[in-house]
Amino acid sequence: MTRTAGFDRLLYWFGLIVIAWAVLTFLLVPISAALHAALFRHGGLEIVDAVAELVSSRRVRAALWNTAWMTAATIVTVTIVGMFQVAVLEYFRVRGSGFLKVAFSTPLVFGGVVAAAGYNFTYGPGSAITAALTALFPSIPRDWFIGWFGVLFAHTFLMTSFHFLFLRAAMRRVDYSTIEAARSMGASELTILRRVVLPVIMPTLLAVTLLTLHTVVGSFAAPQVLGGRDFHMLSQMVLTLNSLRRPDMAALLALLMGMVLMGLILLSQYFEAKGAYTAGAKTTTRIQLRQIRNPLLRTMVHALAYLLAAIYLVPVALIVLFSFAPASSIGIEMLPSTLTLTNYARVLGGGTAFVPFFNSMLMGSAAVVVGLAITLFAVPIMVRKRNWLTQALSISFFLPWIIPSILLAVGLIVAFDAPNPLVGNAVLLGSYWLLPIGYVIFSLPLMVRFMRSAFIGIDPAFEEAARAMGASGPYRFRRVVLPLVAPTAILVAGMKFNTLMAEYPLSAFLYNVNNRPLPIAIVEGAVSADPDQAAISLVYVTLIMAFSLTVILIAERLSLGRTPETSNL
Amino acid sequence: MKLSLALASAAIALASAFPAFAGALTIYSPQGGERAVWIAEQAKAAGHDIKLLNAGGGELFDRLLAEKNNPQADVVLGMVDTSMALLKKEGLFQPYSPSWATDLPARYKDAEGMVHKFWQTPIVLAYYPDRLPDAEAPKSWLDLTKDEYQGKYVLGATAWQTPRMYLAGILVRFLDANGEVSDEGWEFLSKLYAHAIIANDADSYTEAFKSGRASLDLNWLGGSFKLAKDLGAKVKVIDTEGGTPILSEGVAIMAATDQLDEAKAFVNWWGSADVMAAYAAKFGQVPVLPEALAKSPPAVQENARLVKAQPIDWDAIAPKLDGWLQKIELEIR
Amino acid sequence: MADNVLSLKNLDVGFPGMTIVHDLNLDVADGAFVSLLGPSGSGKSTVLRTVAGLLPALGGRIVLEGGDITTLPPERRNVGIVFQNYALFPTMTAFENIAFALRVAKKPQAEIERRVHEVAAMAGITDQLDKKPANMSGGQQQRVAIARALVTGSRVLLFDEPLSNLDAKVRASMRQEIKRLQTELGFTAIFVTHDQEDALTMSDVIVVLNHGRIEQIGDGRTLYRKPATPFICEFIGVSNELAPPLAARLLGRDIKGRSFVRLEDVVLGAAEGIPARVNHVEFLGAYSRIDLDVEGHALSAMLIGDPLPEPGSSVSLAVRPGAAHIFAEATP
Repeated sequence: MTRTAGFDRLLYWFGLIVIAWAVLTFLLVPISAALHAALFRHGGLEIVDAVAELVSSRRVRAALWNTAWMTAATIVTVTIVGMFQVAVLEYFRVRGSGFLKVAFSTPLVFGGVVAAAGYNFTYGPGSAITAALTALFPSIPRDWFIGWFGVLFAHTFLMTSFHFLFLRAAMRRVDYSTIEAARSMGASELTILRRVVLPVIMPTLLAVTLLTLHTVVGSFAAPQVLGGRDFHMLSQMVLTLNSLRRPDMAALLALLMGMVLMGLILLSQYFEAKGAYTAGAKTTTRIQLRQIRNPLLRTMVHALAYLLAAIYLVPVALIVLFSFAPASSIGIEMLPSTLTLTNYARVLGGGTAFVPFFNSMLMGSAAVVVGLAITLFAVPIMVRKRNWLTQALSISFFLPWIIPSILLAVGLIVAFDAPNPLVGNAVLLGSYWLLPIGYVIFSLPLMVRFMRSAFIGIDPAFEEAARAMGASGPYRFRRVVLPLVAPTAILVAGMKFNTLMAEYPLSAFLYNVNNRPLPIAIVEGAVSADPDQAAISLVYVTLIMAFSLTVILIAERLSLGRTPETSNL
Repeated sequence: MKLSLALASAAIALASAFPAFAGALTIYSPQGGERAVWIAEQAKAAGHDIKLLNAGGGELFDRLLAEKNNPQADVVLGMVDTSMALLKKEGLFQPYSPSWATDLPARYKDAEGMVHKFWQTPIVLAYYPDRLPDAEAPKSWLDLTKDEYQGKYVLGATAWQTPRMYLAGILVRFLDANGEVSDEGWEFLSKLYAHAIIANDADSYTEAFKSGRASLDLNWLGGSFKLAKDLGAKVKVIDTEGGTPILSEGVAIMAATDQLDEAKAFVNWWGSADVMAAYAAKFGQVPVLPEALAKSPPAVQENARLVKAQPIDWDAIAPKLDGWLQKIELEIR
Repeated sequence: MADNVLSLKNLDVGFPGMTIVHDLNLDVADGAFVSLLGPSGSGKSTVLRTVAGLLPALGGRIVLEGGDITTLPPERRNVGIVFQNYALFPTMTAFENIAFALRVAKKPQAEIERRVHEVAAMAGITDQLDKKPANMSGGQQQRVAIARALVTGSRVLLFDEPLSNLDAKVRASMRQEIKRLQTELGFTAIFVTHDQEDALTMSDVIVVLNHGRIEQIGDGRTLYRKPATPFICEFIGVSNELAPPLAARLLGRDIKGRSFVRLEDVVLGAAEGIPARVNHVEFLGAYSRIDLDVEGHALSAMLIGDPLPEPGSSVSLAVRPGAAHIFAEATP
């Protein structure tokens, strides 16, 4: 008994030391190295000059303004769409909600450059929809979708994943008896939604809104692909400045964004604490789906729901469909006239097209597993013991969220391009390991964010009960806590795996000749004139989406039904 | 269980990866896709054990600078004049005179004997005769800002190699006595951007032509031909007044290589007349080695005479280019 | 009664630097049902958690079945705990919930099977063993929780307000169920609650705690009939506190201190009574509550059966002789 307890303590301290070392070595050192390299580029601090240059740049000012108003507009539209989804899935009785749920879950696996390209494929100048529109109304320009409208459109429908995940769970926690009470007092459906339901889900809605805000402020792919010449946002400017070899200006702009984002994270933690309190009511009557009485309204809600599903599914469906099309028909035909499995055979056949797929699968799963291990070890400690040390740890984990990944990549390169005593004087640059390490760092913020909520949501009585029955710390963790947070862990693993498969900036900087990853291959395929390459990219994207969606739907099945506390936010 | 499995497989992958890494000659090159495949195949057939790392020119440049303290590459192949000049300035290369350098015209060699150029790539101004009658085609790059060409040409992203080069080619015409671009030059460039269709990615570049809006192509020679072929249209290259910027791609051996002999052998093989001619036959790239050009297909030889070169001192321009691009990105476009 | 199974001797409980209950002494007989009753903040849960070993004792001793368990970890104390909301692990079946402690103790599978089925049969949940908590009724969950607490052979079960979140009807049937299981299986129960009905209906002994002090220990009848302090008088049952002038009028002598009289001890229509005006009549089924105005003082009475006085009418009232509870001034 005491021997095992002693061993557990040893393990605990060993784990703490390993994490402290990892945070120092792979987070703090690289980030400060990057900032140092950026800000002291000529041996002296020339911030004043850089700031002056930034302020005087017309395009930087435009990017600031664009980011500000696009963020505000997106928040409004995303909230409307997200709330509508939640209402359709969890509040009203709508036919085919299983199908709708799958449709609305696509943003979880369809994001970033892939999704932006998919939207361009669907609505852009060369798309079937544009062709049909211009045939009907010749006055419509072919690039009607390109510009702020396309960006806002893409944002609106691609950024609802947090609503899908968390607002739905919050809706399930609404005590149905309060709704019935309101109805008995003669309240209309609208009044009930506004006065009874909304206040209950409000803390979650705020937390979700903050997460979404964070995503919009850092949006890159949508304006890059769909913004056209007149609409660009801050993260594009950061990238541009970096490619102009002005890392100092890039870093300053990134720091400005970072401060805004850090503020948002802290705010969301504040709301999280409040939300946990609201979610405390235990003896609630489970919410029952409401039939919409008014037939006109009912038809309208159904029509809107299915229109929304179509908006979500069409870009995905086109990508999947063209992944089965002969390479020659991509970009030429509006819909493939024949289908083939050749593209799949080329990817899965084990040839050169298979290598990047394999590399990314391997590095992606390794990074996700390591990231989860770190998160599962560190987060319970951070949640239980609140002091300056754990607070610092928690902020460190969020750093990669506010530092643009390019800066992080540069930091990793600068920190490990020479023998580094922190890693036993090894030179990590050029080795196989630097990219997977980068992936782990990149994965941590979202994992920590989600798992924090999951751990906070656990009723402490479970652990107490287990402790009273003699379960040791690790045993309690394994048998009681882990199963409770498992759905969240699987979910976040699936989401993160999916992003890693398409993560570009880190990959581009850190890969070496032996681990050329999928994103590099996909981008090469996208810019390559070789139609075979484009076809193979579509296969990659389809396979990744299918895989991630399966993982996420499994997690969803495990989580929402039985243990609402794990989808707490 | 899952963890140990993943770790085990990672370990296996690593174990199998390292020996290969130690043996092969690592070459950084912007030549990707089928070109990379061809290079790898031919090199292997000639007995060279190489590993190619492909990326965009800008990315490779950044990577080489970032890896300065611990270079991973043994040979840099196919980057353009300005990039090679800057990398040389950073002290990344070592001198070596390849076996084919003796016959190479002087302007394709540098004073330090580190960088040797093997191809030339004109950055051309071309037009589509079925959209723009011959008589109305521009005569010079400086004609582009005329009102009749508004909305008829596409400017690509400054992150791309080609736009960087023609923008530089335009700006050098406006250098004042101090070697700075005059206000007149910047006004010209502002107008050039104001009148242009802007493309941030390859798709929208192609799309501008597909939709019929664009009739003038500012492109590297091979790219221009390729685009015309994809569009199924005829394109004509203009031999502009004031000349056409011509780039040349070079090869150099990294100072830090630990496989100097293999690197030398590879460079000797790569620049040789036969390999260059074979590459020209396959991809239409114009070699600068006279013997290689002579062995190339007639179409390639014809391309070599298509335009007259604009006199540009790339080594002098290279350090200024970033500042110019910054001004374009932050204020003009 | 039989020997004491559990004794708390001079026990101090609370948190380091903040003692909540001082010098607690309590003996619990084997097979008894003891309630710790008190308002929130009285320290009753803290006492329970200390006995369970979830909190360290700050001083004093805890003796269980003759052995000192004051410093033992929870799992070695041989007490079972039924938590608030039961704390059944939602990811495990009823079987696994019950078997949890046995698995922790690394018992052989055959023994686990045997003991779980044994205790499940006693609790009447044999056919629920494959279900997860979310798929069980509240009553079934409670039985699983009790079975889980009993499976290691504990003879003493600690209940930490398990009924606190239930509505009145369910609560009543859960009470009966706990009491029935306790009688049938013969375990000793320590039951923490803030609800006097819980305590009165189930307990052999009720310990009333207030502000970390024991106000009174006794069976329900004693607490009701012979409250030791004004607090008990007000906390258990419903009483009128008599203002001194009214007390003098009703009891016929000057009272030093506080005096209380229960609603049912106010007699209406007494022959030699004091006149009062009926303010309000509340019909509660079996009985009715009458709010009265007696010479400017409010007083309530309880009336069983009809007829009921009309609001506004006058009645004469008296206090049943000897029914008033009088506490000397010194008692706070």
